[in-house]
Amino acid sequence: MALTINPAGSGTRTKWLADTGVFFVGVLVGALASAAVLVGAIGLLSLVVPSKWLPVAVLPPAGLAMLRELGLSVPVPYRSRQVPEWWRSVLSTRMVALAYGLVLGFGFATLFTTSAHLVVLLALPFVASPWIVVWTVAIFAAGKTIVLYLGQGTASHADVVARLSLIESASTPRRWARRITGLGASALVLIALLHAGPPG
Amino acid sequence: MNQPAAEATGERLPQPQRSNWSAVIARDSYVLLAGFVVLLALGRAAGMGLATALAIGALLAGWQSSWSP
Repeated sequence: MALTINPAGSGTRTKWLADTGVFFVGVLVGALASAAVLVGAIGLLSLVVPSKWLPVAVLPPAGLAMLRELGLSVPVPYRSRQVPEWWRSVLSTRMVALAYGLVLGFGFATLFTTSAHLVVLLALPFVASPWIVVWTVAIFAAGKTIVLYLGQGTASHADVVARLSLIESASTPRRWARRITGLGASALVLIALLHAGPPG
Repeated sequence: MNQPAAEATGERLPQPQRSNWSAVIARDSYVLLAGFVVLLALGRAAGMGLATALAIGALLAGWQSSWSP
């Protein structure tokens, strides 16, 4: 995302900061919409499944996403696609920031690069307080936006590419390290969810 | 042929691939996961186990998924 939202693409530093804020809001709203859909789905499921078994319903999709993260070719409940590239050429940077933020925040229409993303969304309907849902989604949006700091002080796309290539490593050990942390976080959320059970 | 010669002259030999693997994975995941578990234990002690786990998962999910151009 840093290659799309950066000072050179936005025009000025002020506009870049505004585009970054718009992206954050897009992710926030998209993820909240996703949480609302999942709350509705779990609500419908509660009509036929006893409440104490509802958290168990999260396990099949979460398990599939975790197996996919291990590299296995299993079906997953989301599209394995990136955001549409062509939006960059027809929309302004501000609108691209909003549209990408909404789509990436909602998930499901694009791939989940880590199972933790899907597991967190699936666990949100089981949180008793709506404020915890909002805070969780805000933390997710912040985590997704913070990478844009790479654009700080750059004057061209080439500068951002250089920073990305310095910091990001696609080596096999690094990729497995990311997988292990993602799977570990997914497991922690699932353990906490099954231990907590349905909200009282 | 190269390695004994390098040892003889005191040059540093290249690290075996296996230790490189373990070093990267240890730094990037085991330590991080240990931190997650400690945070989760603290959260549970405060009666906020699920909320803490969600905060950890959300931050990691956001951070990892942001590394796409």
